[in-house]
Amino acid sequence: MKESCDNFAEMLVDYADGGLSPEQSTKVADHLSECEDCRALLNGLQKSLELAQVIWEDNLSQTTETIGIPAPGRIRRRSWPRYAAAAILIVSAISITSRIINKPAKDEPTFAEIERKITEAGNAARLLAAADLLGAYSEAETIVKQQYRRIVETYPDTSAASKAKLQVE
Amino acid sequence: MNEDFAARVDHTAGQRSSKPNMVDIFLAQQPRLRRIAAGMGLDASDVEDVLQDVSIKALKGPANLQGKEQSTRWLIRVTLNRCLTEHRRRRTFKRHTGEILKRRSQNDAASKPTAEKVIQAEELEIVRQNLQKLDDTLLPPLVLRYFCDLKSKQIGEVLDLEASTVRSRLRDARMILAKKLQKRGLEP
Repeated sequence: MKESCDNFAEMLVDYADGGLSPEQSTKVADHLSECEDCRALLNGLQKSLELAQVIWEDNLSQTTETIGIPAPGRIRRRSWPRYAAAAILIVSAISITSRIINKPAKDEPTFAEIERKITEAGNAARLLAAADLLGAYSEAETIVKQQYRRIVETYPDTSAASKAKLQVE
Repeated sequence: MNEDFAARVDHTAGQRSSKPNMVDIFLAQQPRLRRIAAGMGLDASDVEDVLQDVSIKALKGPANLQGKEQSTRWLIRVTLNRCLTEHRRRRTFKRHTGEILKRRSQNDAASKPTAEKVIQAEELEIVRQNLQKLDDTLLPPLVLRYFCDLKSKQIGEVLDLEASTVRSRLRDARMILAKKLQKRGLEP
């Protein structure tokens, strides 16, 4: 890149976004017609933004498809529902592990299934605890109902879903 | 889609009320806050956590907020700060390039030839990694400008920065991504 390119590099982002005045645009376009390095940089600016948008859109679509299912082994961070969820997880884990040890029958669920169920039970309990707490605020009625419905729809097989169902009905 | 989104933002921002109902504002702004959190690279469950926290904060929201415009800015700021905490705490933009491309090819009837996909996969991975590494001062303006279609002035109001500072940060962020991509292109 030539020394004079530094002056143009400042303007390239605005040029790519169409944010320059007509005079400035013409000046940059003239320089681009002569400078391969700046053309490559402009291409990089456009391409990197397009790719960033692909990543953002993909991430957004993931959030609208999946609701609140954490990665395996993930530790939840909020303190108030964590203890309730942790207690449920520990009790469930001990109970299920004990069943596995004592009755290793062929039709027993796989470890992955058990892990998923534990995660779902913990998640649902956490969301239920949050909804119950929010229920104390009359203004939050809409959010709370939304939350109960979400628990019922997302984690239908959990005990929290049964409790949430009672609140929805 | 982005234009509609920006229009909605301007529309809601223009309405003023002396006593804003934060819950209503939160519910109205929820799609935008979700978009911001996704743009900041959080995965689905983190996004839900963030939105839940923000909804609770909205209920306890500061009493000195005046009108929808100020309340909306406050909600965006709270969401961004919460996302930044997650951003520092764990790796963001976790979904692998292969998964992104697979999903795109499933959704894209006119999929590109294999050779082009390979090149795009490498480039996509470079951008993904560098979005992940982007400084806390650079990622929020980038997301608000190019994913939420806010103008530099609006971003400045949310982040409490001059519009010129926002533009400068946007330039820095864009240059980092572009140069990393270019550098890869020059490597043998």
